[in-house]
Amino acid sequence: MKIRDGFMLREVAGQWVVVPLGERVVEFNGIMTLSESGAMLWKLLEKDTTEDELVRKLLSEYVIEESIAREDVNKFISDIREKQLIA
Amino acid sequence: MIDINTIQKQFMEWIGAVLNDDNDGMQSIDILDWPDYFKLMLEQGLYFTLFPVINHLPDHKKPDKALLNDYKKLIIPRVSIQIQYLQNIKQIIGLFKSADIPVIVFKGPSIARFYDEPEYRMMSDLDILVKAEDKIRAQQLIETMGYKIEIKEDDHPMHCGYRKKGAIFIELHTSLLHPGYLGSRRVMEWYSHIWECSKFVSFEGMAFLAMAEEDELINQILHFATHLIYAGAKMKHLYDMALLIKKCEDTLDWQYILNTLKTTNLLVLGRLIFTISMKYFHINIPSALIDEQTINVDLFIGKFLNEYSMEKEEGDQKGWRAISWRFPLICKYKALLPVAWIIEVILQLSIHKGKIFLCIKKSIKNIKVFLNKAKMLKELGLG
Repeated sequence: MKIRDGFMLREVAGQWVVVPLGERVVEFNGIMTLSESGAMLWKLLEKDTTEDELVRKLLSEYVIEESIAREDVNKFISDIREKQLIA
Repeated sequence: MIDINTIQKQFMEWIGAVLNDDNDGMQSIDILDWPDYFKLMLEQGLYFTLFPVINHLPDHKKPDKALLNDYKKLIIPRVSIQIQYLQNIKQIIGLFKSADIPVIVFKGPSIARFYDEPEYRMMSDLDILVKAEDKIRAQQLIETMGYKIEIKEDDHPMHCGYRKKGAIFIELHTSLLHPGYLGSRRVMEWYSHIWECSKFVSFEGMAFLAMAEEDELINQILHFATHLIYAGAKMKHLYDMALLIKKCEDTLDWQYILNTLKTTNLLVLGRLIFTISMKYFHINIPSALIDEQTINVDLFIGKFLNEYSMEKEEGDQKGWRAISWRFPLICKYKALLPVAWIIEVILQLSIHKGKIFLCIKKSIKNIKVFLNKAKMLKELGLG
């Protein structure tokens, strides 16, 4: 699972923002803002990764139960998949 | 006489502190003044540029939470576009390099490189200068990138303009001076120097050919002159110039700047800009470039902040731009003034549908604006 080429994660005015670049500007209208944990997951997804790895990362950074971490990861993946951001 | 008011004066001082990295000066702001500062920043094209400065202030000096949140909401989409543009420029420059077409990138990225956080300095187009012999190849290359011509050579004396959906607008220049606004001036020597002294600079992961800082500064003065004549001169232009001088203060060849401003007949305006930079922004300028006699700097700044930088293209009082187009010959031939009056009254009658007193009032105002500005431009050697 990997973020498609042509998207850049940047911090703008203290907010994590996904900026489409090049040809993606036309197909992905607008920008997407991410929370701190969303940005952390995004950075992992910029390299090839798995759902389990994402869950493990969340568990290592936040004090939460595994079921909640998995739910959050699933929600995040389904959200960016819907926006066609992952290959 | 239109004076600079207290808040404008404080704002100029604050800008000076920002330019000089003077923390105490930056923190001298009274937080109750933020709404006024934001209004001025918006009016003067500095709204986005100054965000990093405001964001780095200690919490007790920042605008209140609601104001800051509204500010951030506006910043995020605009700065995101600038990030896209910077990547876009990198790609365009790379293609010119691959095609072996030498181009000089000026204004936008060439000025943004002096900013600590360049994505907050807004740019709306990419200005590139190409030698006449490479123009056709450059045009062909831009078209292969998927751009379509929007401003043709016949429509503009300085550049062609190219647009592509979702990408930065490209202005391909073969000239830097608009003869319609600035007349003919001795620029060929300067153009040669621009190419001879151009140099590669690195910025945001790209390397491009830029003008020497002296030439970039002279071009900024020329650009400011065009805006002053046409419309849209803002404090952001003065800020860019002051920043460039501040960042390059140890290396600028002031004698060359002085000589070039003399030959291009821009010395009065150049000295005015340098005097403003010295007096209001506390930037070090050599005395040969300072002139407080020819133009009253305080009076100019008052008028600049309250009139020239506030010109609107539309509206009831149509502003200098519309007025100057109506009366292009009046500056030279004063005897034509009654004709201008008649034209103005007829135009006002068509706008206000026969409300005669209102038409006379508007006509007086417009003619007064026109004559005042024409006088100022003449004094600056731009009329």
